[in-house]
Amino acid sequence: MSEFDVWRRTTRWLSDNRWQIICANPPGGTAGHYQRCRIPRKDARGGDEVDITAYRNGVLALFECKSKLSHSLRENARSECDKDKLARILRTNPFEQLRLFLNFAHGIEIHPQGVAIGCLAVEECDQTVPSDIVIVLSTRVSGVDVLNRAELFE
Amino acid sequence: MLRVWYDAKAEVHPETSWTSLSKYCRSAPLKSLNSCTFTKVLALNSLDRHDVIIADDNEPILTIEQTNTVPSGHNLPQRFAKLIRSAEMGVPSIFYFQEFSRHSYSDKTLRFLNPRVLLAQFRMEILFDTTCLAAIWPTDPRTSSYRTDSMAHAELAKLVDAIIKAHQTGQALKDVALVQKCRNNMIRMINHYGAQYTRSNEWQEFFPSGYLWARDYTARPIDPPDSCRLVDTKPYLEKMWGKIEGRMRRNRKTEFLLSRPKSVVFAATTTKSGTGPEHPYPGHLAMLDILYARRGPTIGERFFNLICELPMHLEQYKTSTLDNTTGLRILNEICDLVVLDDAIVASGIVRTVSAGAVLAQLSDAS
Repeated sequence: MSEFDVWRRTTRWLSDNRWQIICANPPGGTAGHYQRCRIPRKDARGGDEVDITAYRNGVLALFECKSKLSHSLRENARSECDKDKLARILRTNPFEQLRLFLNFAHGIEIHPQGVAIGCLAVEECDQTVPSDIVIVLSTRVSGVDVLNRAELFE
Repeated sequence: MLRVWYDAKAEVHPETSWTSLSKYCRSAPLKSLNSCTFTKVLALNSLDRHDVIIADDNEPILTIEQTNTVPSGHNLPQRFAKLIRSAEMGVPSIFYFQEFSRHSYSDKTLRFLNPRVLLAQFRMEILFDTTCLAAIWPTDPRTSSYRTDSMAHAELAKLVDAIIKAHQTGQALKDVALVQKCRNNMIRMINHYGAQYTRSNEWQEFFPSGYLWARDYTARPIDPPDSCRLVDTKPYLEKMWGKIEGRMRRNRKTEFLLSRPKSVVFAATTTKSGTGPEHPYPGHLAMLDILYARRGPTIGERFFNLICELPMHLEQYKTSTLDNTTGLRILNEICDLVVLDDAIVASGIVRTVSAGAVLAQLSDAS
């Protein structure tokens, strides 16, 4: 399954499970049916792109999609892996700041009480699952499984 | 057999694009350009990769370039090189973008399209006798951003279907009602946004009524941006040679350049790593070439020399050229001359006039 397939499967699963998809960037292209996910960044031009941003019941979830977990944990040209990128975004943008920004950018109303989490969506867990980030397993067979902190998705 | 070739699957997948609304494309196989073996389809990507190519086996019918970025500044012109290759090969193209919108993440100011893009498309129609259309991705009036609802791309899908049908029935595209409607809308946008442009002093001096092909339909001139200067060729070349080597050499290449009294000079910047031109510049220069310099369909047919000033060193330029980066590939094909920090390099048609590409070089540059 390609990165696009993981992204597509995850967005579909979120929609089917009453998550509101606020914005979503498919890998490598322009999506005709979603707003772009770009979070401003003070120390770099252009900001951070996140694959999917979704909200339900006080949980604001930021997803990065890859076909394998090892790809999500591999450093890119900026010496940062997806896991670290999400951690940095959440560290520099607390929930309240993200809530206000998403309201400004996309006109989405998010309840002031809530939590922002980072999630890695993958098809294959080929490495030890890190404990400090939610892993979402997107497979052909069972659809989508949340491997840790599943209570956030119930 | 009709196939839809793509660069990124998201741009053609029925769940994320317009293809589900197209009678012809929703049932056509979606194929990655990486797996393509059809020579004419591949040839369309020799300058830059197309987003979408619709082809009947080895016969490309239509190319589509689509973007949801705000339509101002470089955002549209940077994609122009691929439209040129499509027109050169006689393949109709659709450029799909918004007429106006705002950035979702910075301020709420509306950005409007750059009418030079539409003028350059019309100019291409004349130069290459090919249909070059701009279709509008609708803006949501509530959010001032692009529409994402399921019917947002219905107009694009109808236009695509009309062009495929015309191809199959042998109807001329100029007689297709949706194509005419699209062209009328392009004229409306040129007139509307062209009126907001002020003149460039440099161009006004040389073209008091505006450059022939760069005027709206009420004859108001639309000059190039400030990054694009019109200079006298001889003093400019002497000055550049003076900076690098001293006196300008006279040879077949420089004589060729001097045969055009005026030159269009475009100042580009390099990427942070300094390995090539920053992404928007080569495509933008390709658009300016079509609109302000060309007098015929080939790169040898220009009123003015096309010169790009690129602040990088010769050694890095050579390395990046061998790496075949998209930006330098475009510059090396379309420009007449690339002026680097420490060298002057012939490119495009000038390179073929006689042997040797480096025309001038700082003595300490290896």
